[in-house]
Amino acid sequence: MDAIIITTEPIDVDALRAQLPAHPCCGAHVQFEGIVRNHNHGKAVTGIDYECFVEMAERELALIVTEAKTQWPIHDVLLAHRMGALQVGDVSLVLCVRAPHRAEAFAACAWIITALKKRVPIWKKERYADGHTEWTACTH
Amino acid sequence: MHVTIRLFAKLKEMAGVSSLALDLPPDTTAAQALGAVFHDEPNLAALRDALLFAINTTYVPADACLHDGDELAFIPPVSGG
Repeated sequence: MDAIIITTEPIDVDALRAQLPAHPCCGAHVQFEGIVRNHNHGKAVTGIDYECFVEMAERELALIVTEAKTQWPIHDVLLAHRMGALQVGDVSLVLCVRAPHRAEAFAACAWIITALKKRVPIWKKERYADGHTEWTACTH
Repeated sequence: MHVTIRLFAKLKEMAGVSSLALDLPPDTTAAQALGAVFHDEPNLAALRDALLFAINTTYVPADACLHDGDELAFIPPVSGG
């Protein structure tokens, strides 16, 4: 089972994880959570506003999952990305990858996140403690 | 031909709208449509170089030709995650 979720609601990580079916063949579950942090490039960040081209992001994420599955023998991919106004400490992204072994689960998880940051039409506007805001480009 | 333009993030703020309906000559390219929308922008070339283009939710080159009914999105540098 693969699932791609783009939502303005808070992400319930445990509920999402519980949706994944149990597969006796899978011995690895790798899970990444992106969390809004309180600084970026030396500036104090108070929150992030996320915006998305939903139809295209869903399509591009589905392509990324398909590409990952051609590279690694992974079983399930679940990805949820939150949109809207987030505060420091909020979970912005959850990615779960299940696979028979840990090596492919770790590799696919890292690759999917990198591909998301390069290709998927999602944007963040950081809010700073001094009152300024700025649309940021991913450099990591 | 009629084309719908989708604008996001910084470009949406620059244009003041999230979408536009344009009437363009046949065979207008994605980059030419950008010029039509932001004709007052003094750094149009720099703006164009920083963007990607998508027609009907698929990335296309800047010189891709538009067709009647297409939805063209200007994609500023992405930063999800």
